[in-house]
Amino acid sequence: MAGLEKVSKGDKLKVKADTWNTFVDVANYVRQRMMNQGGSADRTPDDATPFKNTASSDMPQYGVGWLTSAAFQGLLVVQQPSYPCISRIIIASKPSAAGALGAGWTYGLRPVRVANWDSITVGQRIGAQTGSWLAGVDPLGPMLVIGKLDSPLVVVLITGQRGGTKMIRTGSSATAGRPVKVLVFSSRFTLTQTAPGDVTVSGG
Amino acid sequence: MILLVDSNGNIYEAVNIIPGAGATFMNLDGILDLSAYTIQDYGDEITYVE
Repeated sequence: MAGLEKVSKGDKLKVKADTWNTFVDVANYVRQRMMNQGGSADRTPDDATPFKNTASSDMPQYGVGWLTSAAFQGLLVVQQPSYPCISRIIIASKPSAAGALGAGWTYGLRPVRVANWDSITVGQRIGAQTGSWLAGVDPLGPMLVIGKLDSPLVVVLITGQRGGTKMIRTGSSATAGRPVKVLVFSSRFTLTQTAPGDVTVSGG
Repeated sequence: MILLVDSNGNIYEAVNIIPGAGATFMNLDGILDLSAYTIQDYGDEITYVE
């Protein structure tokens, strides 16, 4: 801040009125920001990202949504999770009605609603659940439980959006959604490693 | 991470599987959609894609 100089121990402290008022304004600003971190129902915290809730149901505050790869007029599009093991999630910082705009977090320490609150323990990984806005136990989930609040809330650390393939969807109901560790391709396919961990599959 | 094996026996360690030219599968948020192909389930989480 221009015009503001630190003082040493023993120096006489002379504070001008406008300087003092600046400090008061800053203190009030910081206090207000800290109060907003909890995410009140009618106000969007500064670090929340706006999105459009395209689900047919209302998303509750601190619910977990599926952050899809779609976009709506520049906004992220969120749906209710429609299959397990979703890695791209967003936690609603405020309620959002079906088809309406909402806001949420994709990183950091956040409160989140869980199903079966009693059975959730600190240190567990949790993730989105099919057909629900509530998180549930997922050993490879994108959220780590840091603490428990009053039911149905816990505090989680969003550890990131995994890009790794975990499940496959096939035309057969017997094998759809099964986990996969090894994929063996016939001679119709060509595999090319384009970067460490990235493999392009062509042909077929 | 999963292992990809081509018909020549080459093995690739993959975190992201990217559809290239001619491929009709999608990799959507960790779900590899292979419904356009014939799949054989070898068990032990090994899948053959024809």
